[in-house]
Parts: sequence; structure tokens; C-alpha cells
Amino acid sequence: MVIESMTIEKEKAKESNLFETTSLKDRVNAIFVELFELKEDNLSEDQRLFEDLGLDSLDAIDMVIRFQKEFRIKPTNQEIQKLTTLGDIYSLIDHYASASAVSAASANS
Amino acid sequence: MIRPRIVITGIGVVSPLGMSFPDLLKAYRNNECSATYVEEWEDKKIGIRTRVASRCSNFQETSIDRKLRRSMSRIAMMAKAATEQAIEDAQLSEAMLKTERTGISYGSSFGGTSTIEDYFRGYQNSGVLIDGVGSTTFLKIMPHTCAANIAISFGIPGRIIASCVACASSTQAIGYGYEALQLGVVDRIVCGGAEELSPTVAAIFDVLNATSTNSHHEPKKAAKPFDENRDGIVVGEGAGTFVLETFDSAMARSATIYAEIVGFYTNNDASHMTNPSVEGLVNCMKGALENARLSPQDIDYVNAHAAGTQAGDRAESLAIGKIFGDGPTVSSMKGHIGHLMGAAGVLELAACIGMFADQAVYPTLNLQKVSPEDGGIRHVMGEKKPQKVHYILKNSFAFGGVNASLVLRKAEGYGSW
Repeated sequence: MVIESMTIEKEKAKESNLFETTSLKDRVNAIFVELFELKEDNLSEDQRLFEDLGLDSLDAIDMVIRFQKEFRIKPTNQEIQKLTTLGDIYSLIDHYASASAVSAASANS
Repeated sequence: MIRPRIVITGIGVVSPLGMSFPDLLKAYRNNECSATYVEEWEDKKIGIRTRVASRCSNFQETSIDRKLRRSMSRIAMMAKAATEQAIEDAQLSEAMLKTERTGISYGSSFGGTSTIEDYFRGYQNSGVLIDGVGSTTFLKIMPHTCAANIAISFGIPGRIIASCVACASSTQAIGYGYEALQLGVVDRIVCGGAEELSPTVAAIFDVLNATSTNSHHEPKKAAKPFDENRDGIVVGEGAGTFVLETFDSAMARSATIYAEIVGFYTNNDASHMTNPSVEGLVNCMKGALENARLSPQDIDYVNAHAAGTQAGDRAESLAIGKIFGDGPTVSSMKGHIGHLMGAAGVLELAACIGMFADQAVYPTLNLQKVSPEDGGIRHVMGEKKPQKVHYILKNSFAFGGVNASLVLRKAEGYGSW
């Protein structure tokens, strides 16, 4: 019974993570639509920020400022410089979200 | 040294009295006034006393590409719109714009004051200083925001002169453009000035007791330069752009010539930041006459700075009287259009272009009884007055003790407007 309940908990957590990931994407996309006036239909993981979406260095700064406010994260300069595609952004924010979920979980335990 | 002749071949206007040069001129000719009551300024959190302003309520810019727009506050958007008109009016080709032989001389008192307010709002909300700052905050508030945004909007790679000397900004900008052309360092230059109105701007004049506070219920009668019942300025916003080039260049391409600039001088009082010096003003006008190689008797009309403050109007009346006596007629356009600060000089010069065409001078609107302190000069009151208008001297003065005067000659013969 104990094992069963643990499995259910894991499944729930997985579902919740999936849900979170989708939500993060939507939130990132909404920021791109608002800040850079892009059409949501054009936003897919493989789109390159500069070449395909037309951002430049000033846009990148406003983007990071917005992520800091929206997701309460502080990516390092190295992490920011590695961002090439929209998919990289989803991964970075997801990475921070998971890390904070882990630290929240360990704080709870 | 033979100096090249410098002419005005394009005019663009974003103003509370009209959104194009023809519309502005029509309003000046009809003695219209653009001042209105500003309900938002009843807000006690703003705290200013004045309730009248001259605003470009019809101005809306929606068609600017995002990457250009992100570095523009309202002031730069107005400057861009006025410049677009002026370039089109002057029929400058792409090739003429995209050369370092084309320059920009443009000024304003502030950069984007609404952006400064946004910055403080961000700071106020979080208590963290950097929270009000974005990647383009500086680009919107920097003093040369108009010139830089004009450069990038129209692809003009020549020199930028940013004459940010408060209310003398655009007159000085046109003067520096004229000098750059005479030096031969540019072939044509886009000149002018702009200002955007925000409560912060009004507050700066309000705290110095320089704004009109007694005419809330009669906003169109608030600005009364030279009048014994004047009670201060009506703050305003707008943008004006002139295209300047040499007479030979204009003739070679059969451009329309609105007027010729024949003299310019600028100095500063070096005495008091806000209280104008009669001596400084006298020297400035004399310098412009000397530069134009004219004597006071040659001037038919003086377009005064006169904003409707006691100290400013009085010093200018005395200075004009000292040089010209009661020779040329004198009026101020600020009864019509208010005080547009960085845009004041250029949009008042636009009225002078109309006076050349009409061979008549426009009155100081709302001047009913000349203050005893402002006597001794020939005020134009009531309706426009037909007379010979061949040479005009135009003054602009500013806080910081800055003075600037231009002398214009009517365009004659082929190509004249």
C-alpha cells in the first residue's frame, strides 16, 4: 500500500511538472508577444532569438529584466550568453523552476 | 570671405495650433489660440497651480516600427513626425539624406520627461532604484534624443548638433545649422526643436511662479505677453523642423524657398540663471544684426520671445527699445500658441514665414493694454497689420541666461514661396 501510494504521488508530481512546463512556455511566449510584438503562432522552440525573431542586444536586456521580475530568477551572464533559441529559454527557466521546486521540497522536509 | 547664402526649403509642424505648416499658419492668421483647461492637473498628487496648457491632443504615432519606437518618448515621436513632413516638403531624395554631407541640428529643454516620470514610478513601486530602468530608458531621456532618433529614423549619417538650451533650443539649433552650412561642413541640415508636456515640466515653471494661475476659466486668454494683466506662461508641447541648405543648392534643384537666413548670434548673460539681463539681450540682437551686416533701421518687424512673464517681457521690451526705439513693429506668438519651450523658436519662426508671404505682421494675441513697463516699442495689437516685411529679427531667450537671435529675409524672385 505504501509503495502504491508513493507511485501515485510520483505520477501526480510528474503531471504537475508537465503542467508547469506548459505554463512556463505560455508565460515566456506571452512576454515575447508583449515586449517584442511577435505573433504567438511564430513562437516555437527552434526559433533563433536574433536571426529568426529579430531581437537584438537591447531586446535581450529587456527580456532578462522581465524574466527576473516574472520568474524571480537571476541567470548568470554565462547562462544568458548561451541562449540561442526560444527552446533554450524554456529550458533555462524550467531548470530554475525545478531547482527552486527541489529547494522548496527540501526546505519542507 | 564670401559667405554662401542660406535658405529654408522645407517646413514640418506638429503643434497644438495645427498638425502641418499650412494648418498652423491658418490658425495664426485667424488669431486662434490653442490653450485649454487641463482637468488632470486638478489632482492634488500633482500639486501644481496652473490648469492651462497648449497640448498636441491630436498627435498619435502608431506607425513607427518597434525597434525605432522603443527608444522614443513622445518628444522624439513628435520630432520625427515634424521632420518627416519637412523632408517631404523640401523633396529631399534618399541619396540626399543618406550622406554625411547632411546633418541634424535639433534641440529641446529636456529629453522625454514622461519617461523620467515612468522611471520614478518604477522606483517608487519597488523601492529599488534599478527597477525603473530598462534598456532604452536613457535613449528616451537623453538630451539629444530627438536628434539621434531623427538620424536613425531617416538614415542621416552626418553630424549631430544638439542645442539643448531650454527655451532657446530651436532658435539656436537653426542658428548652428546656418553656421555649419556657411562653414561648408554640410550641404543641407535638418534643424529644429521639440518638447513634450508632462506635469513635471509644468511643475518646474510653476514652482518659479512663472505659470499662469488666474485664467483657468478662460484658458484662451491666459497667455498675455506685454499686457498689464499678464500672469505667466501657458506651458506647451510640439515640434518644428526646417530644412536648411545653400541658396545655390536650392536653385540648382529648383526647390521652393520660404525665406533666407541672413544673421545669427547667441550669447549668455553670465549673471543670473533666471532673471534676464537687458545688456545680454541687447548684445545678442546687436550681434545678429552685425552678422547680417544690417543696421537696426533695416529691420521691419521683431518677433519677440515674450512669454508673458513680468521679468522676461520687461527686459526684452527695454532691450528692443534700446536698439530699435519705436522703429520696427513687435509682437509675440505666445498668446496664440503658448510657450512650447524647445519647439517655441521654430514654430514662431513659422509664423514669420507667413508674415513674409502676407506682407503683414500678426499681433500679440490677448494684448489689450500694454504694461507701462513694456512701453516705448511698437506693439502689434488686435488684428494683423499690413506693412512691408522684408527683414525680421527673431528672439529666443532661456533659463540659464541663454540668448539667441536670428535675422531672416523675405525670399525674392525665382523659387520663392
